[in-house]
Amino acid sequence: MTINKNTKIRRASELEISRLETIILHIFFILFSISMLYPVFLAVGISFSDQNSIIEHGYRIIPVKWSLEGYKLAFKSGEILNAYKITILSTVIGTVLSVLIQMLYAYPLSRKSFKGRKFFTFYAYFVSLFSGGMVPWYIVCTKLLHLGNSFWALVLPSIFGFFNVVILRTFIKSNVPDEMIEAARIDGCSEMGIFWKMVMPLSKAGMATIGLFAMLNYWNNYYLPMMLIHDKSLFNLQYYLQIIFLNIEELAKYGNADAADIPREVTRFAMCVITMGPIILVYPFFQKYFVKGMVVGSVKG
Amino acid sequence: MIKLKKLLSLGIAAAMLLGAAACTGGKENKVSDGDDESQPYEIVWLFPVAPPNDLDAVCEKANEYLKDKINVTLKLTPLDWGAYGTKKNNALNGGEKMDLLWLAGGDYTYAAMQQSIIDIDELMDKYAPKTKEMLGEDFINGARVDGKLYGVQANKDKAANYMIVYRKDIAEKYNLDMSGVKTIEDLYPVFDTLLEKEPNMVPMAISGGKTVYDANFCLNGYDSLCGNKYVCVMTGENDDVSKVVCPYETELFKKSCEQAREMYQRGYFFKDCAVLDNSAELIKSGKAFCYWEQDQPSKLSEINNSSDYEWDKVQMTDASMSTLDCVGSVTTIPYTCENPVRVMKFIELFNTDPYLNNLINFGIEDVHFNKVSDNTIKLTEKGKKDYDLQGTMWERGNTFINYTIEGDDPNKAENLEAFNESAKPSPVLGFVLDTEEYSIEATACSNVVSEYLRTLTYGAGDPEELLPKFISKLKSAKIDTIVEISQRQYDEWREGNNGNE
Amino acid sequence: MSKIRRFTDFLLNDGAMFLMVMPGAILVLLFNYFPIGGIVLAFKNYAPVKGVWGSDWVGLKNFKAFFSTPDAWLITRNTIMYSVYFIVVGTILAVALALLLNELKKGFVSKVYQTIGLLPHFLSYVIIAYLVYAFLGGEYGIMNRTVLPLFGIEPISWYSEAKYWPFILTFVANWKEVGFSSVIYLAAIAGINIEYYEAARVDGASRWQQMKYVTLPCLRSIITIKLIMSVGGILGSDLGLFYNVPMNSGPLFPTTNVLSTYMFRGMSKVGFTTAAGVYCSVVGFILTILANAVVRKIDYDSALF
Repeated sequence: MTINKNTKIRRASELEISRLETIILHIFFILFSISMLYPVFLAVGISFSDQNSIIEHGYRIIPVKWSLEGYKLAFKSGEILNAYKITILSTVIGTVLSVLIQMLYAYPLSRKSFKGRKFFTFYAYFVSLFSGGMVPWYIVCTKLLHLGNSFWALVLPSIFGFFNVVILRTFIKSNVPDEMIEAARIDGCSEMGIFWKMVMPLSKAGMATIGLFAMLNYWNNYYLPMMLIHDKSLFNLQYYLQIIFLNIEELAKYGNADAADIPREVTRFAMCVITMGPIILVYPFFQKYFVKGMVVGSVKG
Repeated sequence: MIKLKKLLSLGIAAAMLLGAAACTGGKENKVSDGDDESQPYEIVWLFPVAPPNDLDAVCEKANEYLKDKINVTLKLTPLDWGAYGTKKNNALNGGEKMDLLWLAGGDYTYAAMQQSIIDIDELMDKYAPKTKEMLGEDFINGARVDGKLYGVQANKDKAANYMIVYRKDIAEKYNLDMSGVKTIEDLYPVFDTLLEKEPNMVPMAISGGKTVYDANFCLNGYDSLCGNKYVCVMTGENDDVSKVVCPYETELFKKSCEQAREMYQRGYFFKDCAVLDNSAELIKSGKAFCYWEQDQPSKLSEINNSSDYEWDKVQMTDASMSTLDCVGSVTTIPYTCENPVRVMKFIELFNTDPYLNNLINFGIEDVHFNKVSDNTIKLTEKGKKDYDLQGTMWERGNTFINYTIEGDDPNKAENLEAFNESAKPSPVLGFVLDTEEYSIEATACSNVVSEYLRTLTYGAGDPEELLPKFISKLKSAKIDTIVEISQRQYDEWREGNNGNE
Repeated sequence: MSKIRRFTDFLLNDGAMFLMVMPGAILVLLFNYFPIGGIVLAFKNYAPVKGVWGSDWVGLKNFKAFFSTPDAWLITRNTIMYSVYFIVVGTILAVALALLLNELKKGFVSKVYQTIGLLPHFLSYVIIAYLVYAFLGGEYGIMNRTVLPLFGIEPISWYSEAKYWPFILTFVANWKEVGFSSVIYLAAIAGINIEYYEAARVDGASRWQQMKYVTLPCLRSIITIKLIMSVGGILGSDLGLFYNVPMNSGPLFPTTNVLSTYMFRGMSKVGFTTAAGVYCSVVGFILTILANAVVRKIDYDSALF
């Protein structure tokens, strides 16, 4: 085929998607976004509504009557600030540890030369399915490991997850070719060196994904505080909100007067917004790792 | 490397064993006879309340007082209401050291049967005689499991009766005569007028435990056998008290469902009541006219205090005392307690000493509350912020020696006393079912009940069609086995109790 | 090679890798293997006062609780049916979404779309249950009040008709999770070597062909792995979805009662819940091994082990 200027230009336009296709795509995404956003805006709107007006008029995105009463319960005392602090601390520490330890575990699993490969894969897999249940776990955590009522109770149990490790292993396998590693080994680089200088930079997309999952897990977790923490000063955000709400619900059953005052429905929505908000702000930071082209092939020669 | 793998596998097996060994809870149940009061002892007390900020300060003050009396230090351990169920189960299952644990209803009887809490008959006779006298024999018998007492009940309301609470202002506006209402049918003409005149209002707000079915059974008389979902004993005039029945198989239940259906179709209930439980919101926002409620002395004034509207009531039943009422609030001693004798001494002190009792319930005088008169107090700002136990005095000991809070009915204590005296004990008082025996059948039946009960009792489905299905499904889930086992246990208990009838 | 040489070799290479695996392995040991002895509780009648080892053996009795319901088959069928729907439909939608997002020109707009797609994941099922009720509720729900009359259809009592709910629940679950699930695939696509695309372009491939011959094959590993692992959880279900969204409405049980809701409604004894857990684990384990074996035959690299 004769190659000349014209050929190239024609090819280029055939190789990108057409104008029409772009428009269709955007229409699709706009509809998609509306379907996702409408309920979310509705939830936000409800959180700022007056409870009685909801009984009268039903749910509206723009409240018939504005009110902050849904937020009253959460912000009643300054305790929520402490809960935010604990949450941020445990999330940051937990996420960093989680990504690090899981990457350290996943890398050897991705190397065929690792002698313990099959063993350690099965080792982690087995317990992801089989568990002794809540009671033995609780006993181990409190009696054996003395994690009861400590900050580390919020961090340690959630660090390792088999699912995440497998995802990381797959990412490493796809992004870091064997030849590269061999080349580095021959050059005399130690395993740790390979790990730090080569594997981690190339696996940024995977690490960002697992980092996101870990972050969300720590941020939203309320199982760990409920089981292991009794001290109010160590409650994290999600648990703090849940517990003040559940407390009111229980008291209402016994006919307690204070409890009757709280607008239950609207408060639920407010709590959801409170937890949701910060994540939305942080997420764009992770997004840049999901953009194609971040990882450029670097097999030299 | 095979050797390495073997080594690792052995290591894991060892770890599992180690972990398993750590899981040994379990302790021999020893109630030491002697007690050396010169040895200090720490009492850990678990009960449900949101932990207040000044907990330590109050404990310290209490400890000062207690040191001279019985040489104990108190470690109050309130746990949030919302998580109490889970946390106390964890504490029990995990074998944590506790001395006093608050339990109620089915939790109490279950823990008793599992021997997770200790039998206190002897202890109480020896070290807490005044408490025993104050509670009364009938009341105590109501909390016996297999003839033994497993906890110290709180001295509060000992019975239950029921009323219909209705909007006084609406009734006056339309001249609705509520005084003649004795049964649910009597309400029909009232509701019809209401629907005509105020179409935006919901005549009756119903919710779990407060439906036509519950009302009819209360009006007839029945003992719920401590809140059991599957069997009960009917105690009305025309009923055979020696029979345990499944409530859903009775004529009365059928009639209740038909009634509920009629009321639903006439528009007396909120249309989506079976789907969305918004009765509390309806009541609060003024859209509901009336509802069925458990009554207690001063309950009506409490309702009026916390509502924007004016309410009045119609008394529907007389006060009766059933097992459920007796175990509404019990302070027990778990098996992990190391010195039950000292603990029992503490209970006696707590129930008879107003200073100690009110210190723990309300905080430090002049810091958390101020005395308005001899027996009335008002919480200070600091008290509301840092030591507000939210009116849960009934969890602990003797409500009769509590101070009254300003604004509450000053005659509350006397009214309560009179109320308790007037209560008629149920013929089944003191009988507790061992639900373990049919726990497998209960699992299946529970799902069937969840499937049909709400729809039927709220009138949202046609009983002609649904009730037979419900009953036949219960039968395949072996409800008959449950009834048989319960009947057998009941017969045994009745024989053993022949003296008491 | 001398022994010392072999040992240092081992230390530097494999040894280093063993060290790297250690932190994770220790955590797993502490939090997962130590408590695993508790599985015996599935065969015992646990009483706290007797402890784990002192409680009486009851053999397989606890498992009977699981099978004693007249609905045992119905519940199992529901559970598996939903799991399969979710795995299949969920994966297809998530991958498709990732691919479509990938086709957009990179920029602010595509980032916005992606973030928006993520939002529903953060709503709890309790909230979603209320929102669904706003849609499907009796008289005032949007469907009954606005949408259906448009088509001349009579209002439907959604919460009493079981037959619509498989569709409703699948829709709600996917709506909530598709954005979040697509993140993994987007990340995987981001990692595809750009040179593959350049080579394809040189060969004259259009965008759709690039998608078919470059992107999808590179995603194959991760899709397969996710499928294998999902199979292990086939008997589990999200309680929030199956309990809260249908508002715990009785008439819907025939199509909304799954294993986890059955347990939630009926079982609280430690023995029962542990037995149920063992049952689900064993089934999941067998299925995973089978799925893994099948995948190994087809594409060794994509297998779990």
